[in-house]
Amino acid sequence: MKKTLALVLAIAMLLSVTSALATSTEAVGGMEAGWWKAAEIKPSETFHVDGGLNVTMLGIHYNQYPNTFDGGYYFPSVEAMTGVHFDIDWRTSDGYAEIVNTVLANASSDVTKLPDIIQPGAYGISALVNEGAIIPLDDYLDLIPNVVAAVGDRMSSWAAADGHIYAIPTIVNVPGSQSMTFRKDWALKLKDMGVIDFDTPSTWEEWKAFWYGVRDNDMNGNGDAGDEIPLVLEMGESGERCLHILLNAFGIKASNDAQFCVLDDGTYTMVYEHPRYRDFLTAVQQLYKDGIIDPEFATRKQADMYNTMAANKCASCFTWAQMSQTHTEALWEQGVTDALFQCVAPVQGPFGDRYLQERQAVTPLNCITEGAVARGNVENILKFWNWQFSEEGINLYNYGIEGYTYDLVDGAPVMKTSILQNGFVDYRTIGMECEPFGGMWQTSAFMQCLFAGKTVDELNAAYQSFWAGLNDEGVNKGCYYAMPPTLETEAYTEYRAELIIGSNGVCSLRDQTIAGQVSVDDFFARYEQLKSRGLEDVIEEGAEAYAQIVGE
Amino acid sequence: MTERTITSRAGKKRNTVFNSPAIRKRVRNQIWQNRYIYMMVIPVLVYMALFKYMPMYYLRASFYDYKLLKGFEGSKYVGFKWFERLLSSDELWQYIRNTLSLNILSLLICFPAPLVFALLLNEVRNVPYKKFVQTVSYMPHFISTVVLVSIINNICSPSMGTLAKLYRMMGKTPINFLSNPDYFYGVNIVSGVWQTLGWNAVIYISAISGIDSTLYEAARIDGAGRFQQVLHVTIPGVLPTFILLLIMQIGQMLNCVFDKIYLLQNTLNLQVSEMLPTYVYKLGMVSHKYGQSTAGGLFNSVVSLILVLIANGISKKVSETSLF
Repeated sequence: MKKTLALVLAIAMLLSVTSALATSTEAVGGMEAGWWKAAEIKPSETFHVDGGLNVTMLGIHYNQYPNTFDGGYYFPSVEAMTGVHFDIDWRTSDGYAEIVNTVLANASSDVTKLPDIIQPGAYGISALVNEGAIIPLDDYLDLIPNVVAAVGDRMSSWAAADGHIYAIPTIVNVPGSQSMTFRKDWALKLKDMGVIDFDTPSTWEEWKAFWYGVRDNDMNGNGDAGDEIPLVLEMGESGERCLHILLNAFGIKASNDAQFCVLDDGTYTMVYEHPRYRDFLTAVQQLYKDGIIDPEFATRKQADMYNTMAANKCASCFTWAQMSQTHTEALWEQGVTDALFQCVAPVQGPFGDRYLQERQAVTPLNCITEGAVARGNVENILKFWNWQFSEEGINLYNYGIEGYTYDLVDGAPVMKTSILQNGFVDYRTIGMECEPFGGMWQTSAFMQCLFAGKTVDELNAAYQSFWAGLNDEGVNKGCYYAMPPTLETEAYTEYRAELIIGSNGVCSLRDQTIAGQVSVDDFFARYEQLKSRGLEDVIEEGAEAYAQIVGE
Repeated sequence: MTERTITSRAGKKRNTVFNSPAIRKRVRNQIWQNRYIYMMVIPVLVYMALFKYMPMYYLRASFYDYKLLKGFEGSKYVGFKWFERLLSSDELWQYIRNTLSLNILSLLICFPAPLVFALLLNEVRNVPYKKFVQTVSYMPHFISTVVLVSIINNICSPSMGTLAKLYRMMGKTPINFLSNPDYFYGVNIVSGVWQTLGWNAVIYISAISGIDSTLYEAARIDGAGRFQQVLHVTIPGVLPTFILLLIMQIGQMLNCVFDKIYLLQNTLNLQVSEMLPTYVYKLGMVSHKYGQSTAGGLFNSVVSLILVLIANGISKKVSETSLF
């Protein structure tokens, strides 16, 4: 009996391992597994390494890019065209910094153990530079003219705080894709009840009227007037994502991590130095006290925010425009047929400011290591990326293989409708716009995926909301601003853990102030103390570095 | 003292005896006969060597501005710089205070709870019910910390959580347990008791079952009731086990259940939730200050060792029970 049981268990385990290793062979977007093998991919005439080149890489893989479908054409095609074979150790972003630590420790005193390319991720470029693991690319720019041209005048997003360039960027030439969204059906309901006199909130006072109306009424009709959250906020890494939209409403054009901004006179500084920061903090503290701001703003993860949207509890939030469509349709499926998350222009603050962060177009991504130097691979790797940013490379990255995934119509690539029928899902599953690897994502490919062969009028209300939220001509038109970078200066690297994100750091202090644990006056008194302990150096070095980068 | 002398004498005798070839052969034979038992020790020895002793070599990183890629040869020697910085930091004492506060609370509540539970369980006469309770109580031990924290979040969330629903049903405003520093220790202690009570009681149940049953008979003949039997037979019977565990627990006073604390941290409770181990982790893994992080870890270990020695000494004097 025991032997039989052991045998059954062993077989079950073996099967589970086998199934885990197996890749899906089901057709995706009309493309069978291994479809690209039938294509006659010729070596590129502009770049090809005779004899081949093996490039090792440590990279971060995202969930929205499935890796179980063996119909991914990209890397086999790259190899066929250029002779470059990529051997990539993909890791998830959770705990990625620890993986980099391990890789560096493993290569201690022997840099040849480093992969040729490392994506810095949460480890940070400055930390890799500090370790001596990666090389500056300044002296090699003549090898990558296509990349330089693609970056153009967006140098401040490419260069590091010390003015050097350390990474091949990934470039996303697509519209901003995040937006403020709100429950239009709830606003209409409040209007019917005589609580508000508008359909769509726009000004600060209108937004407040909408939020207070939601707070005081049972909008979702479940008999509990207290379970709706007027403004759901997502925390991000250290509160940055939840605060953008409110900082912007007060005219503070913050960086991605909500720590830095550029003042009207062009000075790069920390947001806490902004003349409106006190007004922002005072107003937000009051909103929290009044039950308008999400009580979990300091802990709510992105998935939790989506849960509130799907649970019919979120009245407004700032998120990916696509989430308006996804969660509207989710509510429809639940029977809330009049639900509509409508993308809307950013909240206009009490001083009339209305801004929205532009999507970060240029992001430094792939760093070349001392390992590549030791193996003599640097020049060929850079030439490869120059090819990837050429028309041939861009087409392969965005549209796949001509005749199979796209056709040329009037000289422009047009994707097959079978690939577009599931929007971005099949497109990415096949391996197009392989963002974890990086490249240049084109507006045209993005738009073709978005519309999936339809016109705006043919889209349903949920999709139209999505469209309105991300289209440069839509609700956010004229509101975008270019995000200032977070410059990892020496002082920033030295003090970030302690004075910015530490237990007594300014992020913690900010959130405690919003939650009413610390008064606004105390915030500024303690902020001054943090400045004397090192934040002043962070500000000064950041300002100098920014002036240097912008000047260049 | 007696035990140490005996051990010492036994050691001397063994050394003398081992000189005899016949005895050595017999020992070898015994080892060979029990080779499978000895083989079971090998993984533990390998584990200890790899993960407990070998890393000690890298403790000297606390005296370097250590760079992972450059190793000790390429890193700059900085002497006691990191220790000076650590000890002069206001935050260090805050983190020590936080760590000690949680551990003292844990020592007062979580630590004795399994003993009480074991004593209560020992008094249950319905065997199937007793086994059922025991099984149910130690099942939470097998829940991973990540899942545990998810459960805590689901229960305590002021917008979507179970407690919030109860509060609203009672017409009250939900409390934000996870973001209010006043509740941080409470959430930790309650969840800690829930998760460890049953599992930690196993050792006491084992100790209780090892108590000579004639002692209970003698107590009954002397007229002792159930409560008095517990008081005068059971508790003294498990006391040595309790004290040994207590000494080891005191050695952990500057540690914490790292994963749980780390996952429950947020910007609103950091002033009480940042503990020495989480601080050391962040120094190393987030800020890449490997030397300073190692110095923090070494400081933690040295203080823990001192605490164990003190607790062991006190215990030896008071109860004649000690680790060594």
